[in-house]
Amino acid sequence: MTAFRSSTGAHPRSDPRERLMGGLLLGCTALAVASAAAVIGALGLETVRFFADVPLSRFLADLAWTPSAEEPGFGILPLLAGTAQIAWGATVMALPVALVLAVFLEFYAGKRTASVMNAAVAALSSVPAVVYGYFALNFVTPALKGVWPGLEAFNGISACLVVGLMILPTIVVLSREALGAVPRSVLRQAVALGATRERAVLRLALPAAWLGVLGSVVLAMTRAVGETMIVTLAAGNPTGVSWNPLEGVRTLTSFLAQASMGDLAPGSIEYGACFAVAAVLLLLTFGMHALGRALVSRGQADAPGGSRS
Amino acid sequence: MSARDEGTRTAGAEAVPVLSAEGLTVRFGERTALTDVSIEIPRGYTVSIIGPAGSGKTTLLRSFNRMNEVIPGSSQAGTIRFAGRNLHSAAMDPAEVRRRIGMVFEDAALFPGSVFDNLAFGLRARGEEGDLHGIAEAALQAAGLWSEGAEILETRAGDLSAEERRRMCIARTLALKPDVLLVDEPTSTLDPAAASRVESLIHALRDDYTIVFATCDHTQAGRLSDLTAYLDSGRLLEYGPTQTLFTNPRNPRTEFYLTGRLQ
Amino acid sequence: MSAPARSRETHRVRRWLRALGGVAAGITLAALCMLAVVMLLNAGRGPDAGISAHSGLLAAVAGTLWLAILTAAIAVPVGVGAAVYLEEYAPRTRAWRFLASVLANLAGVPPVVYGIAGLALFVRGMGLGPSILAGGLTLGVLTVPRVIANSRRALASVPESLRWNALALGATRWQVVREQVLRAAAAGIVKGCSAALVRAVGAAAPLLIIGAASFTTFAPVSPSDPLTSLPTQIFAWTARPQAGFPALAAGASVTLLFVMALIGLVLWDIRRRHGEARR
Repeated sequence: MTAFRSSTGAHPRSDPRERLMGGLLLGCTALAVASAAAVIGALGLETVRFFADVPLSRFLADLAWTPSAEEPGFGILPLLAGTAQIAWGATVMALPVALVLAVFLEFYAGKRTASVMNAAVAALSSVPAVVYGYFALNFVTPALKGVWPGLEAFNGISACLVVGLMILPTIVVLSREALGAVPRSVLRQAVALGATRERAVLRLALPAAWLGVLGSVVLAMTRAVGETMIVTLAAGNPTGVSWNPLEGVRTLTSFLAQASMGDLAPGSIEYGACFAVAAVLLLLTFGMHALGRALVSRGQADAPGGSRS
Repeated sequence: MSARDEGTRTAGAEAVPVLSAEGLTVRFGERTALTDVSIEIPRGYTVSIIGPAGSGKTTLLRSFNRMNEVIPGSSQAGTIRFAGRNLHSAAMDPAEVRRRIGMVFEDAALFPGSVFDNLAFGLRARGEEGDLHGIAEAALQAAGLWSEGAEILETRAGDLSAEERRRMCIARTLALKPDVLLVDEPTSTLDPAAASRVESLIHALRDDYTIVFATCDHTQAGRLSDLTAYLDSGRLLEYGPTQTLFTNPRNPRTEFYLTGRLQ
Repeated sequence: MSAPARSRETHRVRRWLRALGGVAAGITLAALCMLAVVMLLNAGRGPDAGISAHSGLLAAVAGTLWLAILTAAIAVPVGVGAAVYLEEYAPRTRAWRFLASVLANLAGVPPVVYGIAGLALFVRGMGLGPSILAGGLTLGVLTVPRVIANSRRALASVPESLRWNALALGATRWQVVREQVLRAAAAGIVKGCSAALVRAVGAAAPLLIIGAASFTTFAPVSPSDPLTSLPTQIFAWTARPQAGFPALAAGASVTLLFVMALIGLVLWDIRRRHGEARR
């Protein structure tokens, strides 16, 4: 008895053209994998060198991140705390508006409203981060100063608001995809059984899509964690940790942007510190992105059945 | 003289069958779709495969033209022979196998473009440089789509009715002049009138092709086929002349299925 | 609850939902409008004559166009090719699935991390210095995973039955991919590539890190010229508090949005024509 493995139906033997194209496409994949490996390798190498000079215990336990000070501190915690503040703050600002907007556009908005809002959301998602940063520094902060005169020139609240605006399209678009994946036939069935439309939307569609919605929030937070320009321009570069949103915040990303503006001598401790921070950022966003994607695809797999018309 | 006349039937039985499976087992990941199926398809015959939903009818059809192996995670054991040659031997080119053993799927996706584009795709893939229009015309005529003349060639495939789509998909396969025609659910999703017209088309093709088709409608199997195979949970429970199988089934499960009493 | 009371209640819920939706839509639109008005007003104020003469806006525009071309030349062929391989050719083994998921998750890694890697790989490792070429390579490497992710999504949305029908007519894998799958997915692939490219064109952080010049007056004429671009120029001008610079930065922002819209328009036109060709 012979067993055959499944194949993809590519028949490299039969046709030189087939072989050439298969090779070319494999070559593209190899290039993509090689560049990914180079990125990870470069960060890893310098990070290992950094940890030869600075013990891991200081990296994890120091309460200040001041690699170029006379008595340097190498604690990653203050940077992580700043990143968490910005990411949470932005999500808290964006989530209610984005979620309501997603439900509204998916189930209630008329055709004209929906197309206007789609265009607006697409426009928001294509504005470059540096333009958002300008907006935060030159408009949002002065405007907030009118409300809180004690607001510092560089502060967390303005950065949170604008990062929230930047991640809003991510939540809206991906949540709508999750809500749209709930088969319309299931909702029609519910209405046919006597449920009101609101009940069908709130009690059926939202619970069925909630994993996908959660995934969209995680993916949006991943973007907020990686956001550099808004935070660098609007939140300043303080060395201490403050939980007051009216004061400045320093994140993993804004440290990198600030540090690179000085002259980074290769081999110096500051140079290594940048790579260590970048490696932490890589691990953090890689993991969060993986989690977000897993939630989105689990949400799709768990969606109730029915004809998808 | 039809291949199904009594005289040729005995002769056909002695000759090498055009398709045969021996101890065929097909798995998709952990799920076993077919278990130890052995069946012979004699040349010139029309064979129907019947059985409950999920019994492996489509999988059996797909294994005859090596279409299971394009599904990720599939694996197969046993031997399938095409005119005596191992279908999976190294010398067999799967593309060539699929040209000679044509298959019309139940979910017959239309290619974008015109009807002509749809027919030309398979011909061009084979490297055909001759009169594509002539071949397409002949195939469309054989499939009963030429009644309104050449303008059908330029019609967008998406504009065809369900019945015309089915006919076009059959024509797409006929254009390659296959030895065997595999048809999965020839009349599903058609209204009764269209279904009976497509059934007549299959009936007309019986004279020119060896046909294997799968159907949920066993009365259709009775009307169209010389031989009927009854599949149940991936096992071939009974195979024989349609007349005998319908009037005097050996296996009680076959009888239960035919009389609608299967649990 | 009696029937009329219940219906009154649903009526109220519906009104609330609609009102909330309207408020959310209003907030979004208001934010977008404020952004546009602020940029246009500040840009319209115009910089002081002394600054604008040597501001290097032209150099920045030229740099951004160079970067867009280099990024597209690297990321589109490699990304689309890899996406086709991963979706259509790669065996579904554990090793391939692992590689594919690593590439997919690298799409979520922020540009600034690629900037640090680019600093080590291109600026120092390959000795390119802070040049346009080093910037293009960095943006290219960070765009590849995004192009792969978007293209794979477009390819995955092509129904499997299209591939089966084409294979069953005796087509080889490449014939199926070229004639049917790529044609069906073309619009989605172009859309995905343009989204990734537009984002790369607007990226400032990785270019700042590999050392974009903050003051250039010469428009770059070759990839080995010093790195300059609109986003980094906007950052440099925004970070300077002196009078006149905010206006300059706003002007550059409007220019950048205009350049991005132009690139988007060209890609949209390609998409539209592909869409028509499919019919």
